[in-house]
Amino acid sequence: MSNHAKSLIHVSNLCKSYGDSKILSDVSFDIESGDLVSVIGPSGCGKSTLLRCMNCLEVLDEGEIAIGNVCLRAAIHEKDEDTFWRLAHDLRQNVGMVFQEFNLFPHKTLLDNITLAQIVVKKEKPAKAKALALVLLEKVGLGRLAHRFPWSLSGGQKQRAAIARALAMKPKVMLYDEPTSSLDPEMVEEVLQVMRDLDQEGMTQIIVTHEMRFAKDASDYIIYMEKGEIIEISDEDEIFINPQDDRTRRFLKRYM
Amino acid sequence: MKKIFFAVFFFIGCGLAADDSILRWAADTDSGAPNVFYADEKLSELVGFEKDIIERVAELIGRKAVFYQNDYDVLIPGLQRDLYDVVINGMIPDAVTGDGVLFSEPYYACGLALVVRSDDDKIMSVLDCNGAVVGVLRNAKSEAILVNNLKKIKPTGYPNEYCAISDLKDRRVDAVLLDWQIATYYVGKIGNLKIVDEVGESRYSIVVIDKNRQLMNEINGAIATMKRDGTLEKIISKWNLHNLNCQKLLSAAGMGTLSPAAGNENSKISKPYTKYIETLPLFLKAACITLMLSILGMGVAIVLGLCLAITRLYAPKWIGFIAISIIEFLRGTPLVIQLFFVFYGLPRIGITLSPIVAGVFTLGINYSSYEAENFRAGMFSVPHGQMEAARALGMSQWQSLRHVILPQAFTFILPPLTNDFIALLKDSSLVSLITIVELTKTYSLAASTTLDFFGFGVMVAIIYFIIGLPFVRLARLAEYRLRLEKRAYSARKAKKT
Repeated sequence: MSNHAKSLIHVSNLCKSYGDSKILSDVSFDIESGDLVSVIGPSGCGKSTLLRCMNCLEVLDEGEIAIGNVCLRAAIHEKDEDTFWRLAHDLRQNVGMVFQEFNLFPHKTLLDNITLAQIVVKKEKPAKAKALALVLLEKVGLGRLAHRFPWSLSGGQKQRAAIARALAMKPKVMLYDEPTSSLDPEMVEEVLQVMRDLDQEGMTQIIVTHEMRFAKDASDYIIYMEKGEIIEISDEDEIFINPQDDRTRRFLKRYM
Repeated sequence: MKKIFFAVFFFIGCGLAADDSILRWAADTDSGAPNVFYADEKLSELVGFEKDIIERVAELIGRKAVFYQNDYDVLIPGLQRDLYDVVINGMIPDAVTGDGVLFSEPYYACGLALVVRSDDDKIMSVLDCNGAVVGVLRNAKSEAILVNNLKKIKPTGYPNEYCAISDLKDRRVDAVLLDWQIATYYVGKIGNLKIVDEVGESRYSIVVIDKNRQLMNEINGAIATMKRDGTLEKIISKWNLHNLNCQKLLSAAGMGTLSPAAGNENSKISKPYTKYIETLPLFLKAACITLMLSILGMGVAIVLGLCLAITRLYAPKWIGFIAISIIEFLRGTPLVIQLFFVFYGLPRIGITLSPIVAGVFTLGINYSSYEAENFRAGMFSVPHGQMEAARALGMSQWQSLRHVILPQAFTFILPPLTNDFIALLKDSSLVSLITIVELTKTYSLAASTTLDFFGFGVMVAIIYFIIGLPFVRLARLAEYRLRLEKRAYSARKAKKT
């Protein structure tokens, strides 16, 4: 939590409601380049919505989100929607997103899944896009499966491919929305390993997760959320050994 | 593909504009004997006493007669649309209602003949028909005569003469009241029928649009000349169509007595089966027209349907509302009405389309409403996460649709799309109402010429089936290929466990 100017991600006073129910209220935090941050909390606490706001899959009601050189304010959306969506597009260039349900494109091979956005969005030459895709597939351990369709893969393989697809856009930050929740237990580790490897390379990552062991072992620090608010942000050892807040303590007791 | 385009241009170009050197005349040859009809099943030789008359008229006013086929029900709208200059097809001034048309001096007159089965001795005159089922032609004078004179009469309207006569033979009706010369023709041709009574009088006139008063005067002059110089009588004699009403008409114009008629030799009966082989090229040509209309129509429907579906789902609300309205309107109104509106209605506001263009356009917009709903259902079937994943990768909404949503939606809608194509293939027969002679019309013409509705019926059904089949197979193949890999994989997996 250093000052605004230096940090890669800066979120301040973020609010989001669906109708009457407030999902996020006054959420603020900063994240340094190269950090791996886990967001934990009970179901429905707003952690997924927070992530989706950071990628403009949800439009923020109030506050601002700055990632890299792009700063998005809720006020812009009210005044000038075109400008807002242009900024949102720029913001997404900095952010890679991985979903719980993988969301690979079922009508394309793994290779085409990874080259599509490069060619369509970045106007990359197909040969160059393909070369990068193969490197990334190799990196997540799927080099042999480049020409397979998603339905012929296991859950863990699909999620690793989805990570490769997001990495192909060369994001500054990777967001993971419960990346291991729909995986069989024996496949969880292979996905987490990919994320550990990326951390070693210095990628900034934010992970919404229920994997407390992973959160404890791999995170640089942990954000604990409840009822749309950030209750506690602290060092990974501290939060597990000595939570500052009673609510955090109660939550962790149930999980550990 | 090139051939199809060539054919399209050929057909667009084939509508001739008004020209002083030619006389464009129209009639319905479907069940047209002895007025205007094809003498052979190959539909190569157009004959009929009205054809002889109009050619003589054309000769007298110094023009060349060119024939146009149109459905009987829409002969007058076609005239108003300037598709042709005159209609000569047994038109009776007090039975035909059409604003802004002129009727010439009569060129023929006859009574209405009451036809019954030979073995029927109950019905001897029109007055005996009380309580009986009597067949009449739709929009004809005979119905009015029956209803005005008899209390307990049940007239049954028929679209053409042959249907009425064949129902009489099949005992669905007790009697048929028809123009005398048509009744005579069919009684002679079919047998086991007799004419028992003759009532009323129909006087046939040539019809011209009222703006064309100059032409009407010329035609009236020509008819008068033909009455004077005996050519009209000669034509009527040639077709063996003399009767008392006609004699009155001709003598009123200062004609002498009538000579007995010459033999009528217009029906050449060919050997069974050879006629099917001989007519095959004709049917194949018609099948090409049907196929071309259907493919182009479906192309328009798919493109337009896709636009409507995308607009409905992704455009701002008020534009989406317009798209919904268009879809519901197109889906909720009959194709026939749309066809008439586009072809006969739009010229009033200055949009005049050729028959093929109007046909393709109407089939296209009508089916686009169904395709729009298909596409919408298909896009709904793609999980929401697909759009989110595409947007998260930085694709715009359009790019996401184009590369992620639509390719997946298309595999979902291929079966209903094939379904609709087959339906459209059959619905394309409606374009015969706007002068296009396609497969169904060819069947109707050939069958009414030879009175063989069974054999040609089987033949045309087989042709429809055959031209639809490749598309069904093609769709299956595409479906199969799209799911092939998945199936192969599941099969492998099943084997292992």
